Amino acid sequence: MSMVKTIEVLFETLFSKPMTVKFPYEAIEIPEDYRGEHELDIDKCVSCGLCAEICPNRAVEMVELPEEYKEKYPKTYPRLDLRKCCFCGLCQDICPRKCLKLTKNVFLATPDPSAVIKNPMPKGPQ
Amino acid sequence: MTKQMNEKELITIEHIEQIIPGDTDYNFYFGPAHSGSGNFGVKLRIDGEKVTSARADPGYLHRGFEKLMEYRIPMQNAVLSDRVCVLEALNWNLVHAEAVDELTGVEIPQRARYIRVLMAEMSRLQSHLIWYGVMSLALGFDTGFKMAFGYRDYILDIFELITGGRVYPAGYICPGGVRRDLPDGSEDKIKRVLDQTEEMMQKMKDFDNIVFSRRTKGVGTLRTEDAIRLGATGPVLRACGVETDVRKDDPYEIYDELDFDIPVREEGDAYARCLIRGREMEESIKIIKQVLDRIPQGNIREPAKITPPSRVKIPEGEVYVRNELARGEGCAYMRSVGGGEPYRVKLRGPDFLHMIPVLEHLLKGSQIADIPAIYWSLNICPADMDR
Repeated sequence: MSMVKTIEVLFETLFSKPMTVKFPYEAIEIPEDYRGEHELDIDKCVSCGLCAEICPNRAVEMVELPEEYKEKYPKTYPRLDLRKCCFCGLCQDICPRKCLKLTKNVFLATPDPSAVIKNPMPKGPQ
Repeated sequence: MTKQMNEKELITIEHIEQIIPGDTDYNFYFGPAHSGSGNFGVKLRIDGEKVTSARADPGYLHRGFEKLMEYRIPMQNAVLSDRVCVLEALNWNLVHAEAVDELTGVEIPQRARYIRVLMAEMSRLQSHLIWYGVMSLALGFDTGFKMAFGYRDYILDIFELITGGRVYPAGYICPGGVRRDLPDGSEDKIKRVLDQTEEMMQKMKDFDNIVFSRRTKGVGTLRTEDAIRLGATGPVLRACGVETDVRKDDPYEIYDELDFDIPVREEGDAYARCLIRGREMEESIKIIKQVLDRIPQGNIREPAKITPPSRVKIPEGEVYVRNELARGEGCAYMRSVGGGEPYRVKLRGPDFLHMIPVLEHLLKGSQIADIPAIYWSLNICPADMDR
């Protein structure tokens, strides 16, 4: 590469925008269909257990809810273990009622070991 | 108070010669925890600066995919097939999906075929950009590494948009078609990314003379007969003057309808292998543009819904499929005895032969400084080799 070309590239680079963004002040937008943290709409769930059946890593387990919710939710519901999950989204695709969804939340790193187990819980104050 | 050293305590050349009496032979370990080797080791015997023998040491990244696949249904295996080679997950998705499709005999919707080829070629592009990055790093050219990975991220943005994940598409190309349709506006975004990739390729051409040619010309020359004897495939074989490409020789999906060339070079050295990959990127862009122009409307998967594992049945039989990956020929052998899971799966990646016989052959007789250049000119992937 000639010297003229080098200087040309140098000036071009000086006045062009960087490829990166200043995270966390700026962030690249995450698409809607991203395979991030799971979200369960327990009111729609029919307890078919297909999500647990299709999961390649056995990260989904059908469990009963605590006693105080048993009257309204008497069946078994999916409990997710994010440590085992590979975020493939097969549980979302197979769900006949579309109640289990993968959201675009990617901030899943946590120092709290209990936070990686997502128990099925009704929405609202608990 | 400093002690006055007498003549006997000084370390002299004679002292060193007493310890190592004229011996310049030693063992040299390149990897598996070396920054330039990538989860793979080569045990070398060096005489001075010259490599007298090389022994590849595989097994550091073995994960046992073939056994794992015997316990999962094809849809779950599609997710697993991502991990065979991290650097070209979608191409491995396609190899696996084709093997299952041939066993089940499902007619793949035409739109899904186009999307499959589109994604496989995008995956080839980003894989070649990774190769350019690590090759630059191996040659001590950090700018090339950073730029290649920066431009690769634009392609990953497209993967994120279409498959929902940047590196792992989670079996996007699945048995029966693809898992999701292209979102609205993705065609325009892909075209924009192709322009950006072309910009990167222009930069690669500009850098060619100052870095690549001086370090790679005449280095690691592989003769045609040796390449065939040792089982080289893909760009490594094409750089030795053999015009071969599974996409042309044994077309799969819609490759027989597309117009593209097979770049071939005669030299067989590391530089030829670099140039071949550059030309292949141009051909991939040509293919993607044709696919985007012709992509039809319609279904994307047959059957449209995922079958629950308890109801999956793979018809009895055995198949062997081969595809052209970025690194060479990727093959899958699959046998079913009529159950839901395959009875036996054998994956044959291009890198097993590139990383063991070809690499050992090329390293023997080379100089220490040329090891990274030879190693990365083969564009090897330890994940694919160990599986």
